[in-house]
Amino acid sequence: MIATQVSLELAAAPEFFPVARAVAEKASQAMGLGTAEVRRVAMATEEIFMSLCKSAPGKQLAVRCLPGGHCVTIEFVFHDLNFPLEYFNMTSSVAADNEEDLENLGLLVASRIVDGFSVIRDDGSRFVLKLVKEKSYPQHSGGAVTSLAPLKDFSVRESSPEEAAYAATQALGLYPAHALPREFFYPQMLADMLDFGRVRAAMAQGPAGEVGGIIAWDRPPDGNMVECHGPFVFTEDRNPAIAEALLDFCIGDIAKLPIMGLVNRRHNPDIPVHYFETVGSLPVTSDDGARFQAPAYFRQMQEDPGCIVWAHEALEPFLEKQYARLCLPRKILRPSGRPLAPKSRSVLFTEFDRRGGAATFWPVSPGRDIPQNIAAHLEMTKKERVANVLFALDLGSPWQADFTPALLDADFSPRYILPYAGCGDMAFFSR
Amino acid sequence: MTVTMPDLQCLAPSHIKCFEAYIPSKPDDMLMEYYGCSSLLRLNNNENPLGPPRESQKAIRDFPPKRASVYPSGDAYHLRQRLAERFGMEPDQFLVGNGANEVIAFAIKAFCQEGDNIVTADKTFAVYEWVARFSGYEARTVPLKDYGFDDEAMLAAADERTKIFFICNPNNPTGTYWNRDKLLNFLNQVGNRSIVVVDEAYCEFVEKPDYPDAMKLLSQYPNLVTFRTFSKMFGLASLRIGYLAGSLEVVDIIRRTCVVYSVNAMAQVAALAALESRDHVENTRALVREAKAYLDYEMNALGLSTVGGEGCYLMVRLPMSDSLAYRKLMQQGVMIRTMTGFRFPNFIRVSVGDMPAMHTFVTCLKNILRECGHDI
Ligand SMILES: Cc1ncc(COP(=O)(O)O)c(C=O)c1O
Repeated sequence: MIATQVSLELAAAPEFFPVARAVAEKASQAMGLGTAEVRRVAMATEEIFMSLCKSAPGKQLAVRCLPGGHCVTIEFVFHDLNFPLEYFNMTSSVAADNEEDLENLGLLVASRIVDGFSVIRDDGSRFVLKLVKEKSYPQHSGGAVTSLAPLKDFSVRESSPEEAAYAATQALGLYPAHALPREFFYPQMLADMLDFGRVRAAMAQGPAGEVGGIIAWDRPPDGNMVECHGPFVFTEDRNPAIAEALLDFCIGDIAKLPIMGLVNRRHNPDIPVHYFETVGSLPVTSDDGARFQAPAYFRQMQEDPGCIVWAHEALEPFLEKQYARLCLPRKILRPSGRPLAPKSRSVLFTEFDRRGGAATFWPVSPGRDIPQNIAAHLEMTKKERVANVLFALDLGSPWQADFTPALLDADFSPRYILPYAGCGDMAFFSR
Repeated sequence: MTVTMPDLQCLAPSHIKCFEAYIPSKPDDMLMEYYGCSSLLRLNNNENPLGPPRESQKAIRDFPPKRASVYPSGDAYHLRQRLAERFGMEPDQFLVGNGANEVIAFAIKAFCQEGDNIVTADKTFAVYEWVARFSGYEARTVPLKDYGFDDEAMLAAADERTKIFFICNPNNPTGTYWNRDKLLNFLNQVGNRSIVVVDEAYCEFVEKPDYPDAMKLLSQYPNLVTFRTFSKMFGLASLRIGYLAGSLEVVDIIRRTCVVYSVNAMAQVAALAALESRDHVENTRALVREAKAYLDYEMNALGLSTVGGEGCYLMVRLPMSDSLAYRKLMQQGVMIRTMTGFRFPNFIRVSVGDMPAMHTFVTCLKNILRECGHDI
């Protein structure tokens, strides 16, 4: 795998449109996407670029194409402090008096074409809009799998891409769908992710080479959290020692990194829950309409030095209860509540996980119109038929507290806290 | 005129960009405020509960405040003289640093260049690995075997670019040690290809007859370097003073990377005085022996397994996340070290303190086990 990126610096002007399109198209082809996916990348790039030409005419931006093993990521990077932030509101109903807004459907359209869509603000002034298009993979057909006889002895080691793909098919046969990460359904995708280093996996092996279990974990290039999947144990006795050894391996792999926490949001009975703290749970609607509670397990990877959190008074009872229950040393501060400028408009990013049927809203800036903006975003996800809508609030940013009353009014409930997952702790809400 | 931020992505080398700074814990007053405790019992840094020897305490008290304005001896002249007399060596065989941590950096800088590597264990004192990595050298970390350094695997991990082996003897945090035969065998196998560092930060705590004193092997193995510190047994951790010793030729190379004047004058006089102390080592050993046995007994009585041989610390395996136990103990005013960062998930390392401290720790640990629903 040659991990070289392709970057382009240009202005958001219609005359450069063919350049941006051609680069995204040719680069994603060179990075291994098939013809159909390449076409969709080109279409999504087109949507974004054209909408940028309208919303931020002439502004400087960079377009970057990055290989990802199982996918290609196209990033639009804006350095400009004066970039019109409203652009990121993926709704056309805010300020309906503004005609330009009605045309600003580019992001929404682009988000439908790709598999993942997000916007991040990586320092004060830099915004990165990310489109992720995955290669197409055959879904594993499933099939009967029988558990192994108990292993007399086993050892745990890092698993190769092929071994992990095989172990994923075993897990598919032995675990319910909601316990498994999506890549387990596409074993070749998992192998590509491992090859690229985006995901790592360890497996337990018996004396005759039997694969007795697997655990996989994401190795994000940045961020404070690592998410793990499993452990999954394939022996009849579901030997907890195998599960613990797999988890020990995963923890050892990230132990010396500046990672604050390890999370697991897919319950299965093999997870050694005593390694974790249950921070809360989320009601989830799966593809087939089934509803279930998905617990979130968290393990802190560092000694907690304590921190402050900013919270609206309406969230305080929840936070106090959670912090006391989890023994997290926090000082809850209330923002001063200064009124915002009358014309200020709030901005939210929407992160889509189309395949997982989920969307998460992330506040970008506050404004007088928060309730209307949240309502408009909910309208949008309803039209897009997104079953699971989440709201992520960074308790490290005082201004984000302003979103709380409107969130609660819109029937969002706080579900759990992930310590240090953002600038400070993150609170996750769902409806 | 103002200058805009330089392009740090271009300025900083890649091995720095991918390295994250170690963040030390907050000061006691802030931790106490956050955790809502009125006192803090520090059992996290393997400090000596007796403090410095009486002789050092006197030297510190007698230190004239005005001398703070005068530069110290740049190479700890008198201390090296005294160390030489004590160990029957030459003063120039010693280099004194701002803690043993600083001499680790001296040694790595002296011998490594781009493409070189060091070999050590995965579950040991982390500074060897860190210094190598943020200096741009590879750190090959070999898994422990039965909680001890695995000599054969370390030799197998080495190649012609291996410049230094680091052996922590006894090991922090597991307390295992290589006996004389094992160390000699390893030194013989390495031959003169690389430098072998034996970090003896906790050597004064070891009472086992087969424990090798690396200082006595220096004449036989000119590639051997030993590290010692005044932070542990001699209770001078806050003054930051430690040293290395080796053959004249090897030390002459390492000296080229030393930052002179990095060791302050009060540390030098306090360390010098520590070498005169008569009963301090014996008193500390007696305290550690008793308190460690008590701690080990209590942990086993709670059904918790322990790992610990030599040294003034004991590892305990908990039936819960070590970071959760850390927070719960902190709320009760007890600070231990979590072992996740050492790749021992769910283990904590407890520094052996005096008996009242050990009683407090045991009581607090029982509280949290009970709170978490464990039958005790
Ligand atoms: C094995 C080991 N070596 C070296 C050191 C560093 O000691 P100093 O305080 O002298 O820098 C420590 C301190 O914890 C240690 O445990």
